Amino acid sequence: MFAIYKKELKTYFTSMLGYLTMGFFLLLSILFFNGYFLGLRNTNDFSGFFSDLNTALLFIMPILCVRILAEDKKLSTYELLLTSPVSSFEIVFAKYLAVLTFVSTGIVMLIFYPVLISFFVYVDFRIVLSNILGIFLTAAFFLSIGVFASAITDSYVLSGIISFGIFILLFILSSVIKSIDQNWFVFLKEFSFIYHYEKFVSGLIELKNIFYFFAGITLWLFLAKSLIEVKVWKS
Amino acid sequence: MLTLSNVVKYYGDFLALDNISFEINSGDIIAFLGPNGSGKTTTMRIITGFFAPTEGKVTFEGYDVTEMPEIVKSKIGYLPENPPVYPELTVFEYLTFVAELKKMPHNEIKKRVENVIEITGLKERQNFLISSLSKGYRQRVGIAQSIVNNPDLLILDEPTVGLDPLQVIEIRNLIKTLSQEEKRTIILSTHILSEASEICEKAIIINKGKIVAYDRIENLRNLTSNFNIEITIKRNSNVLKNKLMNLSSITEIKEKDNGFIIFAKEDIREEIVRLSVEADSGLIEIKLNKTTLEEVFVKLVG
Repeated sequence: MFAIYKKELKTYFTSMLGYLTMGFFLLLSILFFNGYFLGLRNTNDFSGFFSDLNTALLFIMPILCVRILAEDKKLSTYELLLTSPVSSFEIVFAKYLAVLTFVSTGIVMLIFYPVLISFFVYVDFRIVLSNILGIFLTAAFFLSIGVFASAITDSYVLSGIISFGIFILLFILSSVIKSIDQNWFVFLKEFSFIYHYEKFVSGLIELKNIFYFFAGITLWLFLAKSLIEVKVWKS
Repeated sequence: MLTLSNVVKYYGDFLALDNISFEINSGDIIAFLGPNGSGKTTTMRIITGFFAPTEGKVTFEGYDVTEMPEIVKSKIGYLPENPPVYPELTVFEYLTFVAELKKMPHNEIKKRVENVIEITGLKERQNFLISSLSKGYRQRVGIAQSIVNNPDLLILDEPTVGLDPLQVIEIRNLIKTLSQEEKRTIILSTHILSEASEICEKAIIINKGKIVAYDRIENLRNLTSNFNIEITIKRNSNVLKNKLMNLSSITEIKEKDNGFIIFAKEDIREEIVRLSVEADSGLIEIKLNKTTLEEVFVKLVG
């Protein structure tokens, strides 16, 4: 499993795809930083900055995910992986961990901005870290969906459309159900990722919210692994 | 070593493998022959654990492929039809990756990869990105990855397809080296029959998902029961042909420049010589041709 992780990680850090997406993300962070903090505003509120970057990530991540398994199917390295002594879960998990490590590198770099601002105004780093944890968990959640989408097909375009479609659908559904107020339907809120993410934005780190993301990640990775196995048994 | 018992494979409603069974012993070099779509690749994918069979059982050194896939997979080397390479890695990086993937002990990996690079003639290209290699070199990298884990069984799916004639000779020589010097058990699928007779000792012929023959190649040649006798004469070909027609063991006479090719059920060279003297045909050459694997193949599959 470590072999696949290492190889995938190297691909992200040495490929055009990796450089372009990371470059684009960091460029956006500079632009947002510029918009939120530079000029005459004297603010130490990072929630808007991080939330906007989190939304931007939703658009960048499908591009990173399309190749995960679809590329192997195209290159017939899928046959190499499936005829090697590794389980389908190890394949899925190693590839997932690699893309998560890559995205996390970008997220961790965001800490630079609050540190910079802290030279001028007081910054509550507990809230900053809670925000970064929120972005990390949301990214981890959506990357698991990307891995699933990539397991469905060998076409980059289709896999991209599927993961982007699921992202947007979840985004819209989450925004809608988060604002439900009727007593009977309040429980639906628990399904909204935005509802859970916003707790981190406000600086609240609760086990319940962390569990929500972990449950989601487990579900999607399990589905991806099952898709691979179905093909072994049913194709 | 490898046993397939009553293996059936359906793709939806399509029956790809129809109850096939065979056994392969350690050290065998087997050609796996059959027309396109006959089930060769499916069989290989089932042996390597890429697919599970719909019914039946595959065991390798006593381990069931579907029940103990990891043990079996670590003992098998497989080259699919297209070499499974990552273009963004160098040859050395890629082979190290495969060795790690196949769970080789860490302290042996570097030495083994260097050794495999040497055997497959990739030394000068070991630091090249695979994306920059020609098709022939990629095929070598494909073969290198299939042997990097020292597999007990090597499965090669059409390893010379799409290569130029020089590359074909190189790859065939490489496979011969692997079989002769490294004493590996090899299953080689191909539809180039001369390749099979050149490299392999035994052949399995599959057609429409069924095994139609499995024997040593010399024995397969006898399957066609035909003797193919070629004669060259100087004159009176019609007189001789009429006389030959009366022989009951002759199944077919084909005309050629200055002579005939005669297909017969027995070796009737002596008769032919006698008749051509009688007909005053001026017989100057007579020879018994060996049945080619092509003829056997056409007879069994055609």
